[in-house]
Amino acid sequence: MAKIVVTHLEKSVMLPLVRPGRWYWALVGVLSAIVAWAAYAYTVQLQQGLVVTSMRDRISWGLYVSTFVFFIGISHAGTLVSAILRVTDANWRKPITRLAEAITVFALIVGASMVIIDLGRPDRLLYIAQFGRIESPILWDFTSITFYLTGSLLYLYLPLIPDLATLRDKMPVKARFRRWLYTRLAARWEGLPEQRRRLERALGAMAILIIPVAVSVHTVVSWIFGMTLRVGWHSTILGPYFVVGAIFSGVATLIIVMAGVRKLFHLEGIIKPIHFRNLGLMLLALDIVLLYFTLSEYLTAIYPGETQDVAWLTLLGSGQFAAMFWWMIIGGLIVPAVFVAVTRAKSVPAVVIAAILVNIGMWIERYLIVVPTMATPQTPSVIAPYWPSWVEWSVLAGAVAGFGLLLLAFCRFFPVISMWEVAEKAPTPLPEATPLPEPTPAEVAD
Amino acid sequence: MAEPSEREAFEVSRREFLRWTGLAGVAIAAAGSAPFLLAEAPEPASGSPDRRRRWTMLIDLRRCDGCKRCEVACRKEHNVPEGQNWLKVFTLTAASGTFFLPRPCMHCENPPCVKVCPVNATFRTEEGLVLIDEARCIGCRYCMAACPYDVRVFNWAKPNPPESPEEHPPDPIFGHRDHRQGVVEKCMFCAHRLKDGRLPACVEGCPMLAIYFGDANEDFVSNGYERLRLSTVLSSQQTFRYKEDLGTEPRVYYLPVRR
Amino acid sequence: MALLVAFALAAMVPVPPAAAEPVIVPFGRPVTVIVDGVVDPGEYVGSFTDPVTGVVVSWVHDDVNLSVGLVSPGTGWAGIGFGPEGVLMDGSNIIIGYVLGAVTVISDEYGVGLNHIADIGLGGRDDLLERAGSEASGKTTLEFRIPLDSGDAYDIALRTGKTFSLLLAYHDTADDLITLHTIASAGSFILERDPNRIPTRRASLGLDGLGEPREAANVTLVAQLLGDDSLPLALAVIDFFVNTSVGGGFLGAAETDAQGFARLNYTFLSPGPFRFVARFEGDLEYVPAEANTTLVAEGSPEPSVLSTSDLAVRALIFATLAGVASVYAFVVVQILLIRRISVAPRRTRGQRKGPKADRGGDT
Repeated sequence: MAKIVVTHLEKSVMLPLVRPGRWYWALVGVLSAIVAWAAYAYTVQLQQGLVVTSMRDRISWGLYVSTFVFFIGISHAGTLVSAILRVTDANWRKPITRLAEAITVFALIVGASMVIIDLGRPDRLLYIAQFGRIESPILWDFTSITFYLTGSLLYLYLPLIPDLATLRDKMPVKARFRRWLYTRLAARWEGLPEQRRRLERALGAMAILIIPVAVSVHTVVSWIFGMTLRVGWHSTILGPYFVVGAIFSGVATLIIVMAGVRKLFHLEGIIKPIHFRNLGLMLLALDIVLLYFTLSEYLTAIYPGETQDVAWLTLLGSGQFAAMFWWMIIGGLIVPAVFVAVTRAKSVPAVVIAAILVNIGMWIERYLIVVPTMATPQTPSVIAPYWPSWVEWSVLAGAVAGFGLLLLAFCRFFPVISMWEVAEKAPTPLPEATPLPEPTPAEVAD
Repeated sequence: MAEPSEREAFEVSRREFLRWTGLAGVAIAAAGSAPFLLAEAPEPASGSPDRRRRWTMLIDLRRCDGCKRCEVACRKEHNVPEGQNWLKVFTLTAASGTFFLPRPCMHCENPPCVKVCPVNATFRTEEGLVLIDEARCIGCRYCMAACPYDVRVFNWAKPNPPESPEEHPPDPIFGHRDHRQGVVEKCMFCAHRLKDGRLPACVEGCPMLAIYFGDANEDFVSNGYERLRLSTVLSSQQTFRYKEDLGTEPRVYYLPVRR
Repeated sequence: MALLVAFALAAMVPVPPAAAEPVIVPFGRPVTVIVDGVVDPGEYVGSFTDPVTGVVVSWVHDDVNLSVGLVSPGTGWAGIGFGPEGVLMDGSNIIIGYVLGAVTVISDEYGVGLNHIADIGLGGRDDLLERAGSEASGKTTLEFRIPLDSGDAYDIALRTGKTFSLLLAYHDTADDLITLHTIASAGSFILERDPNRIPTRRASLGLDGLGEPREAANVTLVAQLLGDDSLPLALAVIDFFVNTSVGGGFLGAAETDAQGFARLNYTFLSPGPFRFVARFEGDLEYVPAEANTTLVAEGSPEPSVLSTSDLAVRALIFATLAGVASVYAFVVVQILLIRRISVAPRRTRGQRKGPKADRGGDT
């Protein structure tokens, strides 16, 4: 029998698959409990109707839609790290691409679930496919999320193939189901040059394609709001704002997940401070862009002083949403930027804390996009204030816990680091063109 | 052994490549864009061989005293669920004092709500009414977000059934007395009454005779007693429509208190 | 004014128009009414007591003027309103007055929304020919005379044969013109024709449409009025109506010319059948006559709405999605090819190969 060689890298990455550790199971337990509670809350909603939420006729979108936008935003993590960095050949991305791609898929799944939870008639969900209307932004959303989910699954699966082959070959003998699973999924990968070539071509095509698809997804989500006549929503900057915000919260989520996985599975040797530094600087750059967009949006709204704009901004700046608004600006945008800038992203804890603050701030930002606009009266009706009910909070907790649970489940079966990419040396340089030999005098004479 | 079989594999694959990619691509695209293809093209507003109607409402704000009996009449007519008001009377203040503005659904000719419905549950009929098919609505509430007049309401909880449910199936034409949970509803210009040649419930319920209703293509509106020639009123009085500058083309005209 | 609106809000008594029979205002000539503020028995030809308010109205007309005596059960103001059939105060001619000591004030006013405003204030005239009033034993008496047709835009032209709305109201104690009524009622009345001059002759009226009935096009409605001697009746007023889903709509009136023709233009706003009615109200000799005709307007051809731009948009969307999908397909093909290229022994049916078998054998 040939000796199965397991490199140190492979050992570190494969170990969590067989022996995840007790903290892993503890985490799974806690998250499962939260998800179970959320499921119970949802059954209450299914029984009694959406009246169990705090949404009413004038504020008819609330926590569910905000969380939907938030999770679709997170799904842009994969795009940036994996695709853009792959296209630009940034090698430092290699240890974290798998996580980014996994985050994308699971964020999309959780985000789409939030929309389904928000529907008044979820039993009629398929009507969107059967009776869809081209003119409706929700249909654009449905289509682009479907395409993005498909693409992300492909994009997650493709670079997984060589690792699946490794697992197929090197998993301990006892794990029969696992070996069967990996064998089925590994597409008979053997590392042959032709297979490599095809894989690279496929990856290259997907990497390029997934970028516009991802941009279209969050642009289309923003257009659900942008295509209405409501104050605060009917803004041309909404598309770019959402996309940048999405990549921003995606990077923050990636940082958090990276830190968690690194700690949980003792991967400090593979996920290094340099990754946190690079992502932290990216976070800072996106933060500044987002501050710029935020300034542009609010300044152009308040300067002319149009009545509706002023009413909306008053609600945000000094009205019932003031606490959340200023937390978002200061705690969600300014403080994280300061943390990262001051430490020059060299401190892993600083970057991680900044990422956590960013994500909290971004969820608040999504909430502040949806609710204050609906709370600004557009007719002389009196609008009761909205604060989510226990059902809505439970579902939010369930969504976050569910997202974590999906990631943990993924970690149980698939390696969280892309082993073959990390193991690759730098690509062999192209052979230099050898200069032609000097012509002999004889040749010159002719 | 390995190399020839590899080469065969490659050659076969090149030949099949286009076929595979093309077929698979078209199949996936068709599946993914099924909604786009199956969606009906917006129907041209073909004039029926009979009349082409253009239902219009005219509300005389000088006569409205804010008694809200129109709201009561509407709620009664449609067995409107608890807490909802399909027709709402706003109290407004202007330089001239306080006045009242009854606000039904505007049944816009360029309706923002119809544009955004993903499943065609809300639609504009050939007679100009914007109606909701309660059997189609999925409860996404996008139309509620899109309407600038706050006209639409949602059945958050299970509504009370009507006294005689058999007589009142949920259908836009039969008055919406039996309501379903989880769908959007709104004023329907009493389409079920128009069908029988009667005026909407709010028109009949106004003791001040302030609400007029009629077909703009016939050019006459009535409050049950008087008949006014609409074109004359619109051209000689300072009629206005609510939020006209949004371009929704509402079908409800108001006669201001001072004109 | 704001006070009045506040009162209206607080204590509005709804007055739905009554569906009772119209009261008949008798004809009397010569008129024996003396406008002195006192209603003497026999002074007026007819009177009636309004069951809702208790106001006693005595009146008579002679085809030229209308003389009215009001006796209200209170010491405050009393008012009477004449308007188009079914109309409440808004748009009605209102005569309202009070007696305070020796002073009698009666004003010719016009209903505007929830209020009434003196005709003079609106740019009209006070058209009361005579007025007087008195107050005795808790009752107020007002007497006045107005022309049936004053020509003022803020009065109403009354004529025989037509039903008009009648409004009555009074106040118990307030001697002014602005306090909200104690009680009010709405009914209708009709002016009696001169019994000596009952028309008996029958005219014949014909109605036709001139021009191509088509959507957005004009037709001329032509009515011809002929007397019972088959000679045209000139200078007669013909009213034109169109049947609508909300009832008969008044289009306009025209006078017949020397040939008995009266014409009115009409523009169709939609295709379909339209029923027109022409009516001659009659005069002192002729009874009313009516004619109708139905014109069917053709629809104008509409441009096709399913235009190329819609097709182009659909094609563009489909092409984009097909493009994305074909790249996905390409990727799937690559994966399948990766499988195919593999040189490892393929697992055939019935034969278990794979890692477990490999363990046992040699490589």
